[in-house]
Amino acid sequence: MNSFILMLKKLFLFCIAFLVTVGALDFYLQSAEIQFLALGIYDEKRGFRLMPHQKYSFFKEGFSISETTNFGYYGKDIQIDKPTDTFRIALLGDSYVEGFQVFDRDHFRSILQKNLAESYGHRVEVMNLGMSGFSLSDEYCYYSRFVKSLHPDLVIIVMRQSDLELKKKSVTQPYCYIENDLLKVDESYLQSRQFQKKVKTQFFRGKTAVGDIFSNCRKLIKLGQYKSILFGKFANISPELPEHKIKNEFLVPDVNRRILEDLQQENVVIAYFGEMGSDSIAVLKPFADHLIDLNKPLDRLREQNINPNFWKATNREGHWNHEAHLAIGKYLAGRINEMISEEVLYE
Amino acid sequence: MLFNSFVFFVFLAVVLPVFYLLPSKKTKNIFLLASSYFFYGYWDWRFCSLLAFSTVVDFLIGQKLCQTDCVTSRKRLLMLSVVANMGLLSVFKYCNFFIESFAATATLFSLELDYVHLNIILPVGISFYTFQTMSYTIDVYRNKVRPAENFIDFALFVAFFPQLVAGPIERARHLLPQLSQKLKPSREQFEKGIALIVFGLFRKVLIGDTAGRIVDNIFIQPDRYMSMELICALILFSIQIYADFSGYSSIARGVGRLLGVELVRNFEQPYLARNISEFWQRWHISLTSWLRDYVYISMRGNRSGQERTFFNVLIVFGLCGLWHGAGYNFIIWGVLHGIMVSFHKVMILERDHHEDEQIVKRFDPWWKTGMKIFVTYSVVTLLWLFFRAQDLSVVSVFFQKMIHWQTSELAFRFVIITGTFFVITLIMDTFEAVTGKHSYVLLLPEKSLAYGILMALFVVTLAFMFQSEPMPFIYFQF
Repeated sequence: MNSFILMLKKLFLFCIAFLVTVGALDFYLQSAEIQFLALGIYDEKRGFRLMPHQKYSFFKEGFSISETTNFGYYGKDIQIDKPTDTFRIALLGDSYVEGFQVFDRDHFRSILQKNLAESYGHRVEVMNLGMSGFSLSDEYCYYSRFVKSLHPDLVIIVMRQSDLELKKKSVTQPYCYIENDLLKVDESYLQSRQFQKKVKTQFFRGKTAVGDIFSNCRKLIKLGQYKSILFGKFANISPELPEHKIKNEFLVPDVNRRILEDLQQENVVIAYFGEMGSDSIAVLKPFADHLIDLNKPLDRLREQNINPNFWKATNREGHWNHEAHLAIGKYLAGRINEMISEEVLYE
Repeated sequence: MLFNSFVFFVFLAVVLPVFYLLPSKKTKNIFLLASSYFFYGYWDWRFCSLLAFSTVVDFLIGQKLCQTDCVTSRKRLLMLSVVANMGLLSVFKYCNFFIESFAATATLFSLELDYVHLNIILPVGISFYTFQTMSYTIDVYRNKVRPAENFIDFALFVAFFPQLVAGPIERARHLLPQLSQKLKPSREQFEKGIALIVFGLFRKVLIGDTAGRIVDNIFIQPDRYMSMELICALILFSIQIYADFSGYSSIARGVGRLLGVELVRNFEQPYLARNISEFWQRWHISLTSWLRDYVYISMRGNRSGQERTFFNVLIVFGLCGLWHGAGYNFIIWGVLHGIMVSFHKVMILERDHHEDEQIVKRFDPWWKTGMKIFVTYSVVTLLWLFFRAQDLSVVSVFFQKMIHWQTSELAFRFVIITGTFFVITLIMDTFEAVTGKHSYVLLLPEKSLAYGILMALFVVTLAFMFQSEPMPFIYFQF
């Protein structure tokens, strides 16, 4: 009996020490900003979005330290009511626009804002509303349900061909579809069990660094990446990725054609980059003066032997690096400035 | 194979049980030798031949040295060992540096030389095992150690996997006798070994690597960052390099203990040193003592007058810098340390000179000790700038930004992050210094508490490792 009690006592002490140490480690990991905490939450209006005013540090191919805005984006806080005498630009796009890889001061948002303010003379406010993983359909939903309420004078949608691909219906996000020849936004995600569950449990998101670490491990195991992590060279490191559809063969789905037609009626500029197929170019052509080819500044960098996607510190390719952000910011500023002076934006 | 990779723990999970089950000293050592070559060959099996070459050459020279009393022959044999080992180092580590330096010097005299940049891969840990084998031959030459009789034991002394690629640089008189006996770890060794591995892994993965992520990004483009951010990056580098290397040494000692082998301590809380000389008695102890015993003393140390002593110190620290890497920044870093150590020696001489005139306090009050530690740490950290900078333009950017101060809205965040890394390192070092043990957690009166702490540290560190890419040890490149 005594030995049993002794064993229980040892087990109790072990558990106490274990839990206290995990707690202390969590405090350390958060204080030193070692772990990128889960920032995503679920919102009835916008679906998946980032938490507002959440501090984070980001380490992947690039590195940044920042805090999300009052609306859960990367950059400076946004006021719903546009200040007077201000030209307001909303940037929409995927992770390239979100741009966690660079500090906000190096992001093309800041460079565009600074350059436009210098040449335009008025106060210019450029809002970064980019969200990782977003496609044209998501951006349209965002635009119609949220961005419009910020009263932007101009919306710049940054896209590449993959953003024009058909978006699968999500159980946590609004999505676009065509019904009776009308473009509609589906809101059935609000009733989905997964969405409700995520909303109820999101209080715990981004609260514990150790919890996030284990959550990431679980995701990697689910994705089957544990073999290469555990056995290194001896494991078949990564399965060969399926070859991308030949760009020229790609046909823009009807729903995205309709979205683009709708956007032509708005004060929207499309800035595209990367390889685009003939059909993609064709659907973007009607934007005419509102179309910006970002490959031009990126190609100019390549001509100078600067890879716009290469990160020296981590020695790998990824999203746009500092040089690319600078080149894009300046190029966009030049093009937008031309549009303003030619009054293309106010036609 | 990186200590901070899962494949290493898989390797260890296979090696340890087999090792424990093997019955005799001979089979254990053969198995450990094969495992060590597998461990080394995991990067590139071709480099195993270099390891074997160094082993065979020094074993044979050791045998020959034992067989002759002729001073000339013994000197020739010693030179043969030094030339063979330094030849390996020169070809694989310094060849391009020498070629480029020669070409640059020729340019100064208006001579344009066409030279070829050789595409040579630096074999991991070459500086460590060549120094280890050389120390054996020099000790045999000096009659400080008897030559190894058993080739397997000697080959294992050179290739013992826990300390093969990043030290500690072991001496034959310390490691060979242990390997000449049947290895059998005691329960105490096993417990301490586990504690050292867990603490080492924590230091490496959750302090060194995580601080290093910020350092790498800032040092690659320092002109993009503001003054306070650069200062934080420099402090973080001082923490990174210490956590990285001491973490490795700790894991090495821990794995050694699991195999029943005691490896020497390589670090003794260097940032708590009160002066620069003391820092070098606490930092990379196995290399410092190697340079002292085989270079400084060979140059007659401090026995030829004050000026010659300072000259010797500068040479030794210059070599110390060059050992760390084939680059001028490393040499400058070494020489600057040499100057600081010489300066400290002068101060001691001055103090001793005035000792008769005034009472010298041998025991400083706590605040004075604190000030000394702070000044020493600041000097060491400033000198790390030369070590970490890829070229002198980075150093120049740092100094320019210190003079032309640039404010940053993120300064406070950077200070908090750096402060957290600093405090955790300080806490761990203070525990080590107060208890005098690197596995201090085992001193807790209740073992269950110690096991709980170690388990939590191990589990969280492993989970963090699982979801992030492993970073190689900084000292692998040396």
